[in-house]
Amino acid sequence: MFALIDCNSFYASCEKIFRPDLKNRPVVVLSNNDGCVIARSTEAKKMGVSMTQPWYQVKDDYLSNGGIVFSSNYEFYADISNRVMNVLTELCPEIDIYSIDEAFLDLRSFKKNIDLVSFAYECRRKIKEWIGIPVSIGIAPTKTLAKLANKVAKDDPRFDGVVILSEPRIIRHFLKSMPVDKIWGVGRRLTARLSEIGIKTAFDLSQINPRLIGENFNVVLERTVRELKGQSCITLHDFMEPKKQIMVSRSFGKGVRAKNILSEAISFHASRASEKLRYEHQKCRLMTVFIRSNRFNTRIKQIYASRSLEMIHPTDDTRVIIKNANRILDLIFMEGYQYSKAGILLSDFTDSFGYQMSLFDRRKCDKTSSKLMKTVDYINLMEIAKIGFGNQGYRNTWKMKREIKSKRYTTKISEIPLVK
Amino acid sequence: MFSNKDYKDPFSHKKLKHSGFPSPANDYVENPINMNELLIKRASSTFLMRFKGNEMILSGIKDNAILIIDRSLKPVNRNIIVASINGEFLCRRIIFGSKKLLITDCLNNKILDIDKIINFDLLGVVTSSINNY
Repeated sequence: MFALIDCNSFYASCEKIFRPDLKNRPVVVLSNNDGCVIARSTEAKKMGVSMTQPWYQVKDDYLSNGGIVFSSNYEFYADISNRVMNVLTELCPEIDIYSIDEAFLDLRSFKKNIDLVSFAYECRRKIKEWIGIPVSIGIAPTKTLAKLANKVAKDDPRFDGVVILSEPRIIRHFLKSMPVDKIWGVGRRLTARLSEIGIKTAFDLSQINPRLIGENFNVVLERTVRELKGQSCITLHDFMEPKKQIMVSRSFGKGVRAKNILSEAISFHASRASEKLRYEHQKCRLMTVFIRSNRFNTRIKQIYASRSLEMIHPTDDTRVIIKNANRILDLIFMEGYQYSKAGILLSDFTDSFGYQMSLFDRRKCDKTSSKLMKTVDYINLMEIAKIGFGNQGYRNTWKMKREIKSKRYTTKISEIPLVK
Repeated sequence: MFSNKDYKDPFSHKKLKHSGFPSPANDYVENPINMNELLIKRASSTFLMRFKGNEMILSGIKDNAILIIDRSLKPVNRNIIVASINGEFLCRRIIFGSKKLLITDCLNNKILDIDKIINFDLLGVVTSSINNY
């Protein structure tokens, strides 16, 4: 059996730990730059605030109805997440941490006669009492089923946060009530395709020969079908497929008109993207840069400009990527617009260990480049100082707003909560 | 969380280049005292808070003391605890008698009856406090 533990409205729940005055009050947390809503407490959900809704659209209504808002405070959330994962590891050492607020427990090492119900409630009670975070728990024979069970545990208050699927008869009944799009990894496009051939519920999907699915769709969906049948075949390793593309983009705090500021931002994003690229041991051949205006602001002239550039030699060199990104910016930039977002996308990867050399072999220059990049990455790893490249700028006028950030209650001694 | 990032390798001096005679104490080296180990039994449920006021002075908690609070402990009679009361954190001594009470340790002792507080949530047990002199 596998358990999926998922923290309820994680960021919003974190914000409530040291703010007893916010008990039973609506709380939302905003994305970087205070752009849109990325977490909602139960009370905020009831007020009709939806996920990833642009903040300025709900702001007035939400605040005048007594809603509370925070900028994201990742230092704090990461610390609370670590605590949750540590408590879970004490309860079951076989743990796969899936995201900042979710973890799978592999219960197969437990004794056969263990009472899963009381185990689940013990997990829930400890994380709530010891750390202050409410969680939902789904337990089932496979990870895909555990994920489905967890969804129901979270959404349906009748279950009190815990759903356990063990008997085949119950699983069958459960799958019949589940639309296919609720299944882990089944997106909108796949749902439409499945619907065309008459597959509407999770039960319908589980009745199909997995091999047939593998031939007509893909291996991932084939595995999903096997998992729905109760045959466990997804391991932690499957989550870590190498990336196919890397995107770094950010909204600006305020609209930006000046090209030199856009250039600083693009250079900064380019350098972050190349770091990620090297971390994945990949080199890219294609890069795309885009700049755009705020499409929600109807009072200003709209623009969306982007262009791609194909490089002859695949690269992971920050200098080359910054230089080319700025060449693209030169081509697409137009005066007279107010830009609100800029970003870079790296794609067409080859792994850095073996790629075809072009006619003009650059191996020698490549060696010094990779040595330099390693040094840069190494220095940036140590938290003392960061080094960067000339055009990244130090003024950073376009950096994140995060205006209404809460204290770093658990990681800075000067910001710990007060008590009387 | 309480990390060991700043914690120096206790045997670093062994790796220093030594000329002349080896130290006769080398084989008797122990780890230096680790304050985290001393004060924190369960890091994942331990939080720090700063105490403001003089209510707990007779228990040795001065104004601005740092409280170490373990949320995994169940309070027993006469423990010092932190609880939220009507939206505010208070540090008090808890008494389990015929009534559940919260008392301060100062002379004008104000007693609170827990069952009469509408919004009472226990946060955790104070295991130690750090005063700076």
